[in-house]
Amino acid sequence: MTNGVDLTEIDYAPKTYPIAIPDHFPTFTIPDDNPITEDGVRLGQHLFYDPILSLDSTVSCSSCHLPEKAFTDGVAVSTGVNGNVGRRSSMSLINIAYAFNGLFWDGRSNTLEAQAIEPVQDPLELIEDWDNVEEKLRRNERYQTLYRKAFGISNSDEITRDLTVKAISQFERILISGDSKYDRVEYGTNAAYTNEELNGRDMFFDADPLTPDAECGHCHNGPLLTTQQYINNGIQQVEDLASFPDKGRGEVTGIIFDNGKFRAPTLRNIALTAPYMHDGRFETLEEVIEHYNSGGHFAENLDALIQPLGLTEEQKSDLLAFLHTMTDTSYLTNPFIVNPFD
Amino acid sequence: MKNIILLAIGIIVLSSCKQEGDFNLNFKGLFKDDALVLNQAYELDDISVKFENLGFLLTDISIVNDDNESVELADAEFVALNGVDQAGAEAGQVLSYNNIPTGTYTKLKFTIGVPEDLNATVPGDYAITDPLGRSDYYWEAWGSYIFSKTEGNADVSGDGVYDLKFFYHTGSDALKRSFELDREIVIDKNSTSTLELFLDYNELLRNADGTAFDIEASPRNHDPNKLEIVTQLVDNYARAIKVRS
Repeated sequence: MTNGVDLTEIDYAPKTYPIAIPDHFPTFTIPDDNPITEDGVRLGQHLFYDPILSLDSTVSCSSCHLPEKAFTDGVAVSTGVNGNVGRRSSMSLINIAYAFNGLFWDGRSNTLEAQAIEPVQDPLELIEDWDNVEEKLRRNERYQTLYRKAFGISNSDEITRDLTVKAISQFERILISGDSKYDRVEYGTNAAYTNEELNGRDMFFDADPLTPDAECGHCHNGPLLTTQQYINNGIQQVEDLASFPDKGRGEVTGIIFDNGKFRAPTLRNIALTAPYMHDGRFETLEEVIEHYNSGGHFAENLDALIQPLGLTEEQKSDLLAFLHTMTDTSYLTNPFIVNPFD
Repeated sequence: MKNIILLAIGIIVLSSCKQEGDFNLNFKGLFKDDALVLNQAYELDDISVKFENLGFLLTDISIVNDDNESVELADAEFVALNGVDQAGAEAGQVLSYNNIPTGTYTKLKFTIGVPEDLNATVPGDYAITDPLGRSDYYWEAWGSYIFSKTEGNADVSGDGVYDLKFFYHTGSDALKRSFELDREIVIDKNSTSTLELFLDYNELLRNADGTAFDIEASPRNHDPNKLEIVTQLVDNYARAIKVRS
């Protein structure tokens, strides 16, 4: 441990980040001890895209959360340092500020700050020790300045894992997407669906008694397109509740009826986040629709709303068309969101 | 200056003399005389059922004294009867209200469901953590909050396999039910009074003649034009709600 570097000559003038929340979105809670500032976001943005957080400086948060893929990585399960293969698919971070019912597929973290601690030390992800991360950041002139500007620290020795995850969380809280065609039609005034999209929409939300109920809206509705609940959606065939190869929520709660349940993800930008499900088993949205049309595999905790749908090929196609209306990449124009090292 | 100091002292004295106490509403699920444990088998007449998801939106909660003076406790609350073991089921869910004026109240008022004005809003109008911000308790197709969910599995063939999924979701303005329960509630200074409210699901899933719902014939409700079974369910609240203080 050195005596650190004096940072008091660097200007510290925190300015609230003007987060743009669409009018049709709910509000979310910003922790009192971690307000979102421009310099806090800027620091979080650098940390998010910088492999400095990993053991050998090869993997960053963005390795598994690519902005152009709605912050997923396009593979079934993610790869960490040394080519270590994870066991679950990377989840989208879009609108993650609204997570109120746990993070990760199994909900094992309650806050973004608590979540951000995990990947760094995960033996399948960044495989780094937080003590080392702190030392690397304290010695780095760029980060000395960024931490000073973000948090007003006086000395580089004050750079900690706590401030690091706070900055990453600030960055993640601004990843707001609310300008898809779905948003403009459902909540705006001057947009309309095509016939196919409208048919898909009516099935998705069971809005028209003349079309089948595709049962999607129970878990994916509102502007966030997720209810954030944990369900067994029938993708895994098992003999009994103890036999799920990945127990999901049950791993966290210890309740056998939670085995095989996973958090319903947002469908926002779903066309960009293939492959699908917690283990990336479905490569296309067509496969996903086919699964739900089949009714899935029975288990005692299979969600009551998962049942054979009897959709025709045309109806499946219409549903797919509607899912494509949920795409919005306007956030990619935000200089606070894209890779600052590019 | 002297006057300001005296005023400040007066405010402090008055504040410290304020007669206030706390009040808890403790909701518990029941099946006949037993605390209702999720995923545990119960006999609904000749069908064995296991409940998996029980919850409801509670609104306009208040207590009223003999002078008909009302103390509003909350606009909206979400209650989940999600006890997965005996201890959890017996504990139920506690809604806590602080700084209630002391005195004797004689009535508890609440609504299961959402009043028309609030039901015209949508979850996006609220904070994500607000009871009315819950998108899992809003149904776009009805343009209504889901007032209550009663979901579970039934073993209709008696083979030990609970393979019939049933769910009864209530919603839309006509299906809210308001209650005034006559019960003495004494709020004492610096102490907590608790009122236990039980919801007996054995009573809830019954027809007007007292027979159990035919779960096999009607395992789910989703057609807004076929509301008979859920209308019966909300009408059953009156006999399914039991109170103890």
